[in-house]
Amino acid sequence: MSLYQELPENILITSVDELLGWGRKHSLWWLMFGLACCSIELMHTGGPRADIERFGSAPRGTPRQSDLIIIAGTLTYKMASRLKLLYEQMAEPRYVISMGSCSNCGGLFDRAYSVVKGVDLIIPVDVYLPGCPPRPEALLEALIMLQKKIQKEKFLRK
Amino acid sequence: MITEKDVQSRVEITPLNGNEILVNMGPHHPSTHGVIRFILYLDGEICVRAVPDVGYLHRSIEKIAEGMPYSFFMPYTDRVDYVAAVNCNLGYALAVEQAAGLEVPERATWLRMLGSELNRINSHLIGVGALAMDVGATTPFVHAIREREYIMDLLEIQTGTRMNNNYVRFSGVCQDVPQDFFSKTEKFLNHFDLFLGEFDRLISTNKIFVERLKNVGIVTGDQALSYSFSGPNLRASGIGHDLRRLDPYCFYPDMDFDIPQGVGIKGTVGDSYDRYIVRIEEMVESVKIIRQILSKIKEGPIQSKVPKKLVLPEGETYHRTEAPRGELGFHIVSDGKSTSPYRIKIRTGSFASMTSLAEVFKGMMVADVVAYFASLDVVAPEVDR
Amino acid sequence: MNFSITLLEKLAQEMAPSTSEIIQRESKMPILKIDAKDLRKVMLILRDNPVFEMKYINNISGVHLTAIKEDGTLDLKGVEVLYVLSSKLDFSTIAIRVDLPEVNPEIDTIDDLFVSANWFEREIYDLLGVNFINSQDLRRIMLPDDWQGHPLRRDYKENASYNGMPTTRPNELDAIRVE
Repeated sequence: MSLYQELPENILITSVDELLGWGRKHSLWWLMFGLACCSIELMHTGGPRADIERFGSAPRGTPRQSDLIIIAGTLTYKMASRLKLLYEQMAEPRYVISMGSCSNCGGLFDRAYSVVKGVDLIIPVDVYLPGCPPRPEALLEALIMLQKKIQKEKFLRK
Repeated sequence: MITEKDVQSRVEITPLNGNEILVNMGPHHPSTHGVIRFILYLDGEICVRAVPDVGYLHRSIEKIAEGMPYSFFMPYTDRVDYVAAVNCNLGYALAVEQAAGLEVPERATWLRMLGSELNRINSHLIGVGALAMDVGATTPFVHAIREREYIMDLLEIQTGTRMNNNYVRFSGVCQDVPQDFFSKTEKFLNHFDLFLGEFDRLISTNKIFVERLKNVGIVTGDQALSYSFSGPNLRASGIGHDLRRLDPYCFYPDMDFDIPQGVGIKGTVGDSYDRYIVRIEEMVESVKIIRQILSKIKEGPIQSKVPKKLVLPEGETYHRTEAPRGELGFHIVSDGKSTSPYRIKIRTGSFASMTSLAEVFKGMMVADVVAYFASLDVVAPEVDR
Repeated sequence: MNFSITLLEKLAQEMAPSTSEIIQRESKMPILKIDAKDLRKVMLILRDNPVFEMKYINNISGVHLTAIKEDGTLDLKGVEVLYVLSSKLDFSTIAIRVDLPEVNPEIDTIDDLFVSANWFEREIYDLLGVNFINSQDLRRIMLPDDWQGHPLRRDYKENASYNGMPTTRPNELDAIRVE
């Protein structure tokens, strides 16, 4: 992409990995998995002020059509089996953002008997986002960090 | 590690007879009320039997309270109802102050009332916006989110954070407001009056919206009392009980405001449209109360002295306040010797609203099931705590 | 606070010959303490008698009573159930308390008199282990159906894992901490 300014006739020279990374990172569709207080900040991130859709991210209601799951809120043992099912229904390549203290490590409720102390005891996590709840701008920062990770991925070779 | 038989419901599933099908409105659904599950037996479009299944957000707040001093419990009361956090803080602080006999300075009481009325508008905006989105209109929800951003800016200046404020302390509040806060609030209230008129023109008289909600889920006054409804749900069924008048706290007896009741404006008394209109009118009343607070507030201290190790006298007490979703009651048991409570039980309005579902859903069509449940304005952490 | 002693004294008179006792007289919430076998009689009086007309349940909650013996161990004394009801006429409130024994605590249900009592009773069964006789539907409500134990009791011990998920989070600092 850096050679773009030097070639005057709109010729682009890049690698396939970079081109695929650029395409994939700008259309991450996310599954709405709002459980508790962080889901209100997730709704505000989709709202008019901090708009997540300008990054190409549209909210979806079903895991079959999404490649990102944002776990916003506290996960309890009763709900844990549903999370595992939803994660297994997503098609690869799939990414996970753990939003808020409760899904990072149990958070405020780490003395509770019915709370899973961190979502990474069940599914693998890509980006951890601290906060209680994190501001909408913080969630956008996590999305940008995930986009940088996707850009560097060698997608065609495992 | 997790097998399929763990996911299967262990709720009593009776065998299906005839044409019935079993639909699972599972804990994860793209609606904004949280994680609540219904198991519906449908005969065509009509629901024959419904089993609500809750507990997916049970965070054991009441057990955590038994191991910490009284003032450490304040952040957990925010999370009982996260859209109306200052109201829940206020209920807990008033319950402990009443039992311990603590005094509150005057300016702190005015600031507490200001925070809780702003939060009442916040909470009703989510309730009304989510109702509109469930019924099918997606635009009013985004309008409501835009107005909530302005209110969250004001709450950020007053309390320090946008959500989960942890604002009220025993015998006072945690911080004072800067000089230009009242002029900013006045500017917002002038803008909000125009917004409410625009919202009314947008959906309140829209023919499709009215047809979706009128005569759906009619709950008479006697039925509402037997289901333990409280707050706007009870007032929409014709019984005008408001805890700010019946059991007054703070300076509410000096305030001049009406109590909106459901009168069956488009259908019958106690249908879903009444529950919607009562919330819109309560937002108008909250704006009136805030204007009166702005004219009456004076300078002064914001926190009195509280003993470092607070011990409540032995016995039990039950104190209730009016939260946006109904009656919020705190039953506190103390053993007279230790600095942590023996038992705290929190009674919320949404838990009582859920008790009506098994009876009211019988005989309704599936689309009406969604509309009735959205008009009750239930949030999951209040049901599960 | 709307809790008035006169209502409690009227109720104690109506209940005769059953015995009852008024405790916490000077506090903000005076309570009427009754036996477990008189519960349905009292609830029917409160619901149907035109003096009271209590049709609204504010709260039903349970408390596990304990005391600390001289050697420091816990002495379990049973479960208390508190009923708070309000009147339809002017919302005046009344509080009634029943004490149950430690072994096999059980009490009659009131969910055929009041519709909303069922969910309150299910929560007390789930978290404290009290059995409500003749209840229409007594299942666990907050915890999964295969949970062992009743968590709000004072002698509850947590298991190490539930269905394969560990209940504590490993802390990397523990490995390098010096004793």
